[in-house]
Amino acid sequence: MLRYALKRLGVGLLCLVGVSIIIFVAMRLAGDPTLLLLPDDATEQDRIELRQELGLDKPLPVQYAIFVTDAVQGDFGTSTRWKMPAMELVLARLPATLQLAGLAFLIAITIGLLSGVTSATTRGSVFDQGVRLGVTLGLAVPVFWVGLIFIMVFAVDLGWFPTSGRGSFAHLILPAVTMALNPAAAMSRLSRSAMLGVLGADYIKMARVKGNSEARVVWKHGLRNAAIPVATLAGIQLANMIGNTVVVETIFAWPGIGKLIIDAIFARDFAVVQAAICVVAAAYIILNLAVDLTYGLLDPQIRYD
Amino acid sequence: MTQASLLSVEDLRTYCYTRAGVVKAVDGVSFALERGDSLGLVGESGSGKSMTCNSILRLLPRPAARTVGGRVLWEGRDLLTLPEREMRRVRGREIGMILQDPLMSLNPVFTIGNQVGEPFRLRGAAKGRSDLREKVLDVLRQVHIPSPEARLSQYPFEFSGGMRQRTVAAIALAGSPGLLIADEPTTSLDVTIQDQFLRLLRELQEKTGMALILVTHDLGIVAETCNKVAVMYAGKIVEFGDVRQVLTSPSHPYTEALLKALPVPGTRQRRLYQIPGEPPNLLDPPAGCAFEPRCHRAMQACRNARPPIKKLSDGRQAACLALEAREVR
Repeated sequence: MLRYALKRLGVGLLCLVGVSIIIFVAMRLAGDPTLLLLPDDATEQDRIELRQELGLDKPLPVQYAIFVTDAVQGDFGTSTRWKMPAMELVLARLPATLQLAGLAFLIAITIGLLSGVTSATTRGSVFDQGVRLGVTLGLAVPVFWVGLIFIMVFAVDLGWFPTSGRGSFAHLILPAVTMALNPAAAMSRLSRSAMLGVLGADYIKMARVKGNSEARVVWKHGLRNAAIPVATLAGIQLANMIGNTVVVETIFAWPGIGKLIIDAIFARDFAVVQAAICVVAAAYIILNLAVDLTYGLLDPQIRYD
Repeated sequence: MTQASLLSVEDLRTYCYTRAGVVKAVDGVSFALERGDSLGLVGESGSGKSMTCNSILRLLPRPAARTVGGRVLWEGRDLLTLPEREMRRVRGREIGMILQDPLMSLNPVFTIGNQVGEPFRLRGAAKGRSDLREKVLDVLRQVHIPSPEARLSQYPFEFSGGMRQRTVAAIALAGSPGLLIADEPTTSLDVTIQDQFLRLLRELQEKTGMALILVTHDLGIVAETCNKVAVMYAGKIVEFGDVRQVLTSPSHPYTEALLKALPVPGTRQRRLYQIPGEPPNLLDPPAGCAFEPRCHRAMQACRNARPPIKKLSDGRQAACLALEAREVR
């Protein structure tokens, strides 16, 4: 299992290199940051000097080699906009994003599992129909729209929550719920179909024959078997959330990595975007590995060797 | 029927509600079982054998199937009207069941020890971990699982088919039930393992004195294992009686035909006998006797009304008009 994990981490490292190359090149295609950094009356000479100072005059492969050499030593460059080490800036924003993504994930998995499993056990009922309608809606409505509507209704009209920013727990609720809707719907749909597949199995009937209560039949004997596809989706969603915070953080002015990435892109702040993307990619890789390792706990037939 | 029977099923009716219409899967089944009895429930696929068993334990696939009438008296209580909480106590503790497919009846994600231990845990029969372990090992030994200590932490996929089936029997035994219902317990096993398993069932029955309902379509198995037999056709019992009587001199034409369809060892037969025609469409059953279209004794009267099941002079019961006519003569 350790060997497997190490091998996967090695592959992950390769992915990280790929991601860093793509983002490195893409950012440099996006435009020249010196145009934004210099005042309007700066001369062409000033611009060339600034490019030299930032190292942008060198060929791309050389720039990348310098970036990598510094990055492995923990130096992701300095933000041209905030005049701070880029990684420091990113790590300072990380807790806000983790908090938002974590709560959104908890909400998504709780609502998704409860509604999906109950929907499967009461197949055809009014509840089931309602859940299925809700799932379709949850998957169909765009996140930015939901966010705006939530702000209008719950923050502006009803005044239950603050409109934006980070501070109290109340600040967290609207963005977290907004972010949770779509994954909750997907989770609900998947857990419903996984449960329906499992509930027809003989070992479920066997569990009833043994005299188990219906709750134990469903939540112990059933869910443990339906958990494998559900865990896959949950892992993908958790990893996605770290990246998907971009939209929600922008709408709710949540000071996390997503908002930082957007601001840095507009400022053509290469160092910050690169550092932030590397952190998001690393989180993605680690979470995926964690999911693959939990399969071994969920399904005894899976061995890592 | 005596009131003191261990299990007495009276006029049980279970219907399936399908898109195409109502199927009377179990249509007025009655039989009684005493302590230590073993009843073979035979009939072809779709005759209502499994449905009868599932109705007794109230494990019908809902909402498609529902028991709409009759009584299932278990030690005097009607199981059909029992609250679900009490029914749960009956399942597993008083009436055990072995399902058809041993490969599928064990939960793939729990260890053997966990699954065999569950019935003990559910009724709080074990005092502490080591006591539970001892009890689990004991039932595994009873069903002849080799080196049970090493098996506790294994998973079903590490077991062979025969071992899984014996594990399922161990789970049923763990509840020490007064009645064991085995629904085609050996269909998916090869012949040698089948034989071993049936011997095990008989052995356990002798040891514990429990009653047995064995669902099968193999009359050979019934002859070896059971003392009573009920032959089902189209949701009804058409013949019920002592195994030796029924199998050596069948009275219902359907039982007769079933026996004729058996291969006889040691003889060379070019082709096995086949009952002409097909089982009736249960969505639209014939108005008279369901077997009438395939019956060589059919008379005009058979088409008009369903023959009721009647006690014959030798003590067994059969539902056949032609037979009644012969008896009277």
